[in-house]
Amino acid sequence: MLAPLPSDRVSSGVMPIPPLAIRDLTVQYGGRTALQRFTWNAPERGLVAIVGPNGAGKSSLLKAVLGLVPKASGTAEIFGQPVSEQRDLLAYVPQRASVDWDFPATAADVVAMGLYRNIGWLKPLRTSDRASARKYLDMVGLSEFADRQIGALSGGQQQRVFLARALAQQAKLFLLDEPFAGVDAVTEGVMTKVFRDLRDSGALVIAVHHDLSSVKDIFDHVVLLNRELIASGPVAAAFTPDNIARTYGVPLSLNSGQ
Amino acid sequence: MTSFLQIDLPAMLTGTLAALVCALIGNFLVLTRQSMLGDAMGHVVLPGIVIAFVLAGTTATWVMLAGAFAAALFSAMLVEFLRRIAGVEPSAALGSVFTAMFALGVLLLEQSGVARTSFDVHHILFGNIETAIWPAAAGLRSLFDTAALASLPPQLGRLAFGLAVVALVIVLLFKELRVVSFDPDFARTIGISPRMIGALIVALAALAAVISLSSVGVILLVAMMVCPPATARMLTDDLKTQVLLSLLFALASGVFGYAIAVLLPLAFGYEISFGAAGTIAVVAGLFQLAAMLFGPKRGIPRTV
Amino acid sequence: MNDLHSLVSILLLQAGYNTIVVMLGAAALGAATGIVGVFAMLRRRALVADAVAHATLPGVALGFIVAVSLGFSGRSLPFLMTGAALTAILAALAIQWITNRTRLTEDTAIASVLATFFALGIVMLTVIQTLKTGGQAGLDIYLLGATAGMLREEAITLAVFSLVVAIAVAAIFKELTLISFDADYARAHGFPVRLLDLAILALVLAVVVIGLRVVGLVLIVALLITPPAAARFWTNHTGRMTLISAMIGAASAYFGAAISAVSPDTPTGAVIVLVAFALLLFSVFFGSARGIVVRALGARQWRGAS
Repeated sequence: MLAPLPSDRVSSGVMPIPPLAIRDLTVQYGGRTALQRFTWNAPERGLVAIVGPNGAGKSSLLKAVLGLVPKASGTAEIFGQPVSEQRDLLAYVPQRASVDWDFPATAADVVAMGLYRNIGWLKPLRTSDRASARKYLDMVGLSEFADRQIGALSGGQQQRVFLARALAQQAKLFLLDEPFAGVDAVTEGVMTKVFRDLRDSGALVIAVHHDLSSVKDIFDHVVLLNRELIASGPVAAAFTPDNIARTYGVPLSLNSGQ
Repeated sequence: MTSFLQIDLPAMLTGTLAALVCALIGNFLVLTRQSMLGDAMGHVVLPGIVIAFVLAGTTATWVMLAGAFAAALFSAMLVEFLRRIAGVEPSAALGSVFTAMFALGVLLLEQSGVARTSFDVHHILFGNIETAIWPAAAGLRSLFDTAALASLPPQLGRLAFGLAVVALVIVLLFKELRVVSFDPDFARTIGISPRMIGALIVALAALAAVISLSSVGVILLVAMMVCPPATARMLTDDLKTQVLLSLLFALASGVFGYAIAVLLPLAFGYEISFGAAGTIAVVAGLFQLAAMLFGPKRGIPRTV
Repeated sequence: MNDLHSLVSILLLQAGYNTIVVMLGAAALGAATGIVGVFAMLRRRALVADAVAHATLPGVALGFIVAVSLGFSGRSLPFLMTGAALTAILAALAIQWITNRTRLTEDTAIASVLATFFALGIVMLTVIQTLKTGGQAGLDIYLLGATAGMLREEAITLAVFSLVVAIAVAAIFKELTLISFDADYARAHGFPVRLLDLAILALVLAVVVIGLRVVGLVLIVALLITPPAAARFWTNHTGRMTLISAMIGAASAYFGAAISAVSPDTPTGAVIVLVAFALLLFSVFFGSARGIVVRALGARQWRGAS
């Protein structure tokens, strides 16, 4: 079952509902504010980079949208519905270090996890599911590593396995936390290509991104963030030296943080 | 043959079934870094079992289960209170509660006069699978005689029931258990609650602990929850294979352990016999040692 | 309430000279575990301590067999304690090896070492039980502890060893506090963190082995965990916390020994652990630094002030 991405679902609508609409989102960790009253409407499709200095609340933003950390206030809606009701449309690729790399799972096992929601509770994996897991691995150039234990793969290959797992979810909206951090050139090339294919099939890809120099090459939209929204829009319009300085320069949050 | 059926078979079955049920759920304790949970569980349910026995005056399965679950629940609440409300460091909260509960159980055993009648601190600590006997057995025919089978020791039924429940849940929810153990954050994003599956793992461990405790003792319980899964962990990178291998090692520990403890000394004409539960646990530990030394999947040495 | 009456008189040190010495010896042990426990907790060695304590059982059994075969009494303390220390050290090394050299995590290493060593001890005890020598019944007390029948010399040995442990901690107190608070900082400033961690482990081993006779190997870990946890509610200062932890440990052991002097059948270790836990609960509510009652009052004052 490898249906094309359901791109007609939104583009045929009369009034386009944003794939992701965030209103007034505030995230706090034990009294410290990680993200302050963040409001943003995502573009309908494309590749969006979220950039900002360390501790700017980039990961917190993704995690709050996904419900992995509690929201102090605000809402996040996916195609006009709460996230909890739209999980089928959403895929998440976490930062690398967050799992047990010794876990008894092969690359194919991990990719198959992307199909679990589709398979449903209590039901085992079918042969067809295993076959499609291998297809997604092939899409990230790892078909010959399908039976390798995930800890035995290189960092970049591990990152591609997690990307393949997200692809298996056949989502409309992809959230990735620093997918390019510390990966090799091959992986970078594969990921860039996969992102473009996703965009061309009508999906929206939102990635936290560290490397300012490659924003223009890879992404077409940008969100500049430093605990609050500094600027957002198409890269050409929003990714200006002025906005970058406002994001990374004198901490704007000094007056809002207290 | 008759004496084997009357004495050795029921004891061997008791030890082996307990080993199987504990090893099965133990896989997920080991993978989620909760190996000491089995130990804590084995300790906290003791006062519950004793109180339930004193109140109800019987060792019927449901009485033991109710008492043990009440004690486990009470302990969990106490730990949560110490951690969240009082602010005690988590491992200190767990450690102080499980030692206090076990101490309470020991005192209740001594004070209520239950000791030396139905169970005994030694049986809880050491295990006492030798008391599982099948006096109705008279030759191989008894294995097919429903009347004789009905008089099998009650803990066998209890253990078989527990094994069936744990196995059924693990088979049905295998992929959910796998994804939650591997990547709880991801599980949450696809709508599988790590908290719910985590609670299920703890509940199954509690069930395994309760049914094993009174028949095989706390030490065999801990050994079986950890050693066979850890052994299997050294041999494979596939979760399903790991679970099946752990069952194989549990089975082998049960059978060989009992044979070494009881049958071997008899065969050589010695009067001595080793405690069967302890020997089964030692055999399981030796399997693990061998796998750690020679297994193909020892893993990359971690530098400190 | 004859029991209560005799308990009070025992607590007030009006019992026989021997009982008094035993109670004071137990109190010294409690103080030593309370002190060592502070650092064992801060450096997360509590569960290792539990495994190491259980792992003394095969050593005790071995000590018995060696003593008997050499013609000594099977209850000869030097033999039993040497054996206990040997297998405890072996267990600590095994945990270290498994954690560093295999893919198994520390919790699995601790649990499997605890179970296997303890099971081996049980097997050896069952063998000893079938031997035709006297004195094997005496080995039982090492499981859950007993002060009944304890000799004056044993109690004095206990107190002396406990004193040595306390002095050792005092000597390196400042360094222990530093690595417990910020190991990276200590390492950066050239403190031998690994050596100090090893010292903590050695102190844990020492109090566990000393404590076997009174508290027993099954529950001795409670005396390393519960008094420091209780002490934390009375102060925010490490030095004072260590002192209070020592006092709580001493009080638990003292009361435990007194109560089991009244009813000799009761395992002393179980009573000591329950007294310690009661003191923890009391501290949780009424501790002067972080107790629930104090915090509630403090919150009201704060709210009133703002």
